[in-house]
Amino acid sequence: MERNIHNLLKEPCGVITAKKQLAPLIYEFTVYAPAIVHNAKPGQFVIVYARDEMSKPIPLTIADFDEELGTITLVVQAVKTGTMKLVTMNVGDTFYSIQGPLGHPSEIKQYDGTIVFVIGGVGVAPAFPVLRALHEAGNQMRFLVGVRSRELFIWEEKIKKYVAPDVFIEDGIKVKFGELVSPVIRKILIDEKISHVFVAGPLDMMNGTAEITRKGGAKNTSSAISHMLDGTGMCGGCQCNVGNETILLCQKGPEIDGNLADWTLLRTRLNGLKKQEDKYLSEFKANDPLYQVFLKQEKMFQGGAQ
Amino acid sequence: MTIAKSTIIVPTQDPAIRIGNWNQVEGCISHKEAREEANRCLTCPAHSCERGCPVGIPIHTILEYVKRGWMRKAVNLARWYNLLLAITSLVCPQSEQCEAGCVIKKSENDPIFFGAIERYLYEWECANGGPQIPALAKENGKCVAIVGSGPAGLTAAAFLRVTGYRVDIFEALPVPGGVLWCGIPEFRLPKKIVKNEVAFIKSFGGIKIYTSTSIGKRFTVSELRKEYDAIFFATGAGKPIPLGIPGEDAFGVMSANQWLFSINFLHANDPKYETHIPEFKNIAVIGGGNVAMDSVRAGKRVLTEKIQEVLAETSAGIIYRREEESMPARVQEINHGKEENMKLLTQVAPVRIISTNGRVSGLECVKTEPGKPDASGRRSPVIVEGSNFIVDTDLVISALGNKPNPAVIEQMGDVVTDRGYVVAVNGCTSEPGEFVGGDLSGGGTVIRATGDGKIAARAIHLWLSGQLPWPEKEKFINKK
Repeated sequence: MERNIHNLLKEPCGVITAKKQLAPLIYEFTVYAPAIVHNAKPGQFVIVYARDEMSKPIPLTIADFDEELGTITLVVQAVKTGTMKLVTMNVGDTFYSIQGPLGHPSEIKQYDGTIVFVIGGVGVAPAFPVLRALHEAGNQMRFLVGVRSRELFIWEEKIKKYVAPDVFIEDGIKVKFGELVSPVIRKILIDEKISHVFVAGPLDMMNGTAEITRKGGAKNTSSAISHMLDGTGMCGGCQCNVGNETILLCQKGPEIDGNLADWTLLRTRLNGLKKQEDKYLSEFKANDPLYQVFLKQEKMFQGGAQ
Repeated sequence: MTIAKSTIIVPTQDPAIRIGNWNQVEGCISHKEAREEANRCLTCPAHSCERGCPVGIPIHTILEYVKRGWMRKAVNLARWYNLLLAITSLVCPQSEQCEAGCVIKKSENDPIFFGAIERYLYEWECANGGPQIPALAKENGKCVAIVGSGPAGLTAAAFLRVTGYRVDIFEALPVPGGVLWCGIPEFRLPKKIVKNEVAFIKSFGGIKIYTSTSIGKRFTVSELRKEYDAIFFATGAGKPIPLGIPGEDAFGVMSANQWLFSINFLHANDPKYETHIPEFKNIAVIGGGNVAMDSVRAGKRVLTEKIQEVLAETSAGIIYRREEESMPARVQEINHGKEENMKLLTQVAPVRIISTNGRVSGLECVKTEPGKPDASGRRSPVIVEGSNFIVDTDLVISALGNKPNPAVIEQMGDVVTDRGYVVAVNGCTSEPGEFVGGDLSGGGTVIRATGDGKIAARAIHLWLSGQLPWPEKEKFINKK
């Protein structure tokens, strides 16, 4: 069947075809969405409303896509209510809405020198399609990933196809979290002459990496995310200050120049609604029947497998 | 001969009660009132009311039908000129359009309140079998793509289908309606009406609306060109104009788009919904248009709902740099706002956002006075030096207006633009096959958008049937 608009519009979009648990509270969803795969490029994201109109729009980077099957892969770590609602969904469910592909694609070309990926936790997922595309473009790469425990390093096999990762597991001494970037990664970034860094991880890690690359003069591409409502540049909720210029992450992002970004401001904007979010989350956890079912599955996983 | 004063009384919710709910503020007049009001029309030869209407609704004829009680004829005729009559009856600035021209008004009497009659016609229609689908031409096998499902897109779709075209509408958001759904709050335009109108247009058959489908991202314009006979761009003006003052990045400063989208679409005011809005006690809205009025009145309602939580004194106010008479908002909205205890700071301009730990804690303003008239003939405000003062606020909403999103225009072909808007000549852009209307070409109101939708539908039909040569490029450049 020819992949044109008329045919693609006849297809459903946003049906979950597979769900796999990767680690505690981290899930991989395969979603049938041929219309999204059609023009999707590495670095782009989707906005998902999980269950119904009461759900909040959540931006998620497209972690992988399969053009032949017409599926995209999303990796979700359940942290706030939005992601909690997502992980309670199962195979056969359809998202209330899925918009995308959105955002500016990554710049894929052959770069001078080695590209160093600095990845924290589930940051592996947004980095993966970029890693693969950069590999196919003939780049030399290193992959530094920091995780709190071994099982939290997801997609190890997939990453190993393209690069041998250096995994740093929190031990409280050499690899300490709670600091901006773990000291080992910091040392690598400072000691070795690095020209280009790609960062995906917690805000603290991106901020900390930017402090190092700014001094060392390395290029820094960071994959940042913020509150997004419509994804079309209408609301301005995802605004971010880069080099004293206000940009919208949904338009120019999610990849921004980490060296120029005002990370403190981004954090303030991200955490501004924390009080309301926490209150909503505790009510959700106490009252949502689907969450109770999910919790049982999650306990089985943590007790049994791996 | 003396003409009787208008006898209609539009039922209006008590201000003290309505600030605690989101129900529509204004109700509908009775059948008797509608006919009495229509009877006041002198059927003057000037037809000045019709000339005041951007889409030229034949108001005299409609009033004549209403006088005689021929309601079905009246509503069908009104719909033919203005498909979204239910919506425009609620949002049109009638006092500057049809009512402004009314000859009775010139003799210092009330004009004919056509907006109230239009509203009545819709209610009558709902109670009497709903809207009737007009005669549809046989499908001619051609298909038109419409980008955007706001008033311009919906109107164009309906008229194209009437002429025999199949239509696919692409909407970037999860629901159709555009500004009607996401921009105008429930208390002014109930969602039920928007839903009904969209359902009516869909019931024609041959019109499909694809939501969550952003053109330029999911499908490109060049792909649309390959598969559709014509494209009508009606994406509106979605890029908020920034305040352009220091400190604007602080948390607690947001565009009216974000504020109203959060409330109208994501129900952020409702604790059952997952989206939240910042906590606040004093909301300051900058601007003097309808969007500013909607924002401040929505703020008032949020504050009233949370009255138990917010113990301190609260306020909702407007900051506008010109005099009150220059405010572009509908007179009704300004009056309703005042009844709802909205503060009004006119001849004041913001100069700096004050924030504490990244959050807004105040707004520094200056007083202004009218200066020399600008290009539009209005006197531009001039800052009074040294008149700085601080407004106590923790939520600043900027409602300075919107421009079209440049990302949309980049996607279009070789189109001539003027100050960020796409130049339209009879609905055509300078790129053959691409049509434009609504706020993307500089409309500004819902009624203008519906008018543009109709103009574009006609242009598309004439062009596709070989009756209209594409306008030459000079025409676009000259129109700038």
